[in-house]
Amino acid sequence: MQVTLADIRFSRDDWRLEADADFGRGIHFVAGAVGSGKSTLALIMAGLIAPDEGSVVRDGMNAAMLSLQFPESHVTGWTVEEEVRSWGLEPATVLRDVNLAEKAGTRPLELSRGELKRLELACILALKSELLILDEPFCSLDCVQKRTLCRRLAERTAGITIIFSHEQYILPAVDTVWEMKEGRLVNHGTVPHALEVWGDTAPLHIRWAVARGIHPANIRIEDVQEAACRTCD
Amino acid sequence: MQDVRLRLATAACLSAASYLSVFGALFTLLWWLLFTEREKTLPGRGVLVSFLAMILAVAGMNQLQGGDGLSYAIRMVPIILLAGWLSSEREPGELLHAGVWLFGPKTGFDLGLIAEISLQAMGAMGEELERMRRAMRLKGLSWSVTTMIPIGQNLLHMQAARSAEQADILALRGYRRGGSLDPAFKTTTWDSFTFFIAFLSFLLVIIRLERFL
Repeated sequence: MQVTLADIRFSRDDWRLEADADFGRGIHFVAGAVGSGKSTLALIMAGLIAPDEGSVVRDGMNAAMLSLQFPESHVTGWTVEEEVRSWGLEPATVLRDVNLAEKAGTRPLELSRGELKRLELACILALKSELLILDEPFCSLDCVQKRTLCRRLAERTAGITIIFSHEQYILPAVDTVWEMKEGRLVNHGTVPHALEVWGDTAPLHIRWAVARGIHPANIRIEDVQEAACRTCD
Repeated sequence: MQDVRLRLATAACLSAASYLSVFGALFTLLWWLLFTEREKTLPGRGVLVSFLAMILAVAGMNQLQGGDGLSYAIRMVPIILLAGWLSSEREPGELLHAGVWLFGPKTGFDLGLIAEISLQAMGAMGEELERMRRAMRLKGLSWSVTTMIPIGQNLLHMQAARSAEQADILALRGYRRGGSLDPAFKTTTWDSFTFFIAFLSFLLVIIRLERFL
């Protein structure tokens, strides 16, 4: 099971994006500043926009599922209940899981953005797609919901998960770190080695740890705390 | 064409010329072919096809009822091309400048602001619609009455929310009526020349030059 970006090139006016990479099983974290091309690359990987050059090859899997950055963009149902049904899911179970059972008859766009993001993410995760692409999944979520999402992602033991995010604090454990840098997708490698080469755009706690010779096992704050305690011992 | 005043005047002259006669429509088509970056100014394929379908439907009905449907179709197509050119050349804020230049800092400012906000809203709705189409593809849904109704309602709902936010922002910034703006335009000789050709086309249609050909 693998997704290959074969010499992808995409440009709009002066803005360019290039990617040549293989994504295998596991959780991939793609970092990058706002406007660096993360969302565009996510759309290309999901097959929703075509690159100018190159191709996306999905080996050993069906269609990709993408969680769009803005939850409003997913809405096609008139009520919350209809919205869950539009994903081909049973509303009762999903709504209970995200504590929105009492809002089944509410219009999706009348939910707060955090609630709507929670709802759409719950639907997408419930589909258990082999290739799951999440574009800024932590945006609009509070700290509690971000941690819940990290736990849900950790439960995904099969398939390929690609997280595009500029989140700096509450992060899931990942296998590989990538970065959109100056219009190119750069592979920093697998963790923990990737943390040593990530550089200036890594989350603050990672940079803090690396600068002090502390070697966390992964990108979460807990990993840094654990490594720091180990180093002190 | 950089000067919005000349662009609007050109569009008005050529639209009128095209609407008034087949002769004018041919002039407009020629102007579009000679003075615009044709491929870049064409509206999106979907928009173009839907407009052409609408024109052909009206022309067909007109023809069936004994009217001159063919003439209608020939006269309307250049107007669609012209609309695409007008839209592709637009720069944010220029209608505000044109409004103030034309009608002054009170009424002109308000009209310019309304025009800018309306075009901005149309652009935002287009982008939202594109995102919704992607969402439908992800969900494996196809276009039907049952999916189009909630999508249309959601689009309007989002637009109403955006308008309310914009109104709040304008009120917070102290907007009541009119505004101070020193209109600025950049006019080139080429702009003036292309406008002159458009105006000439309009005049030729008005004096019905085709009678002498």
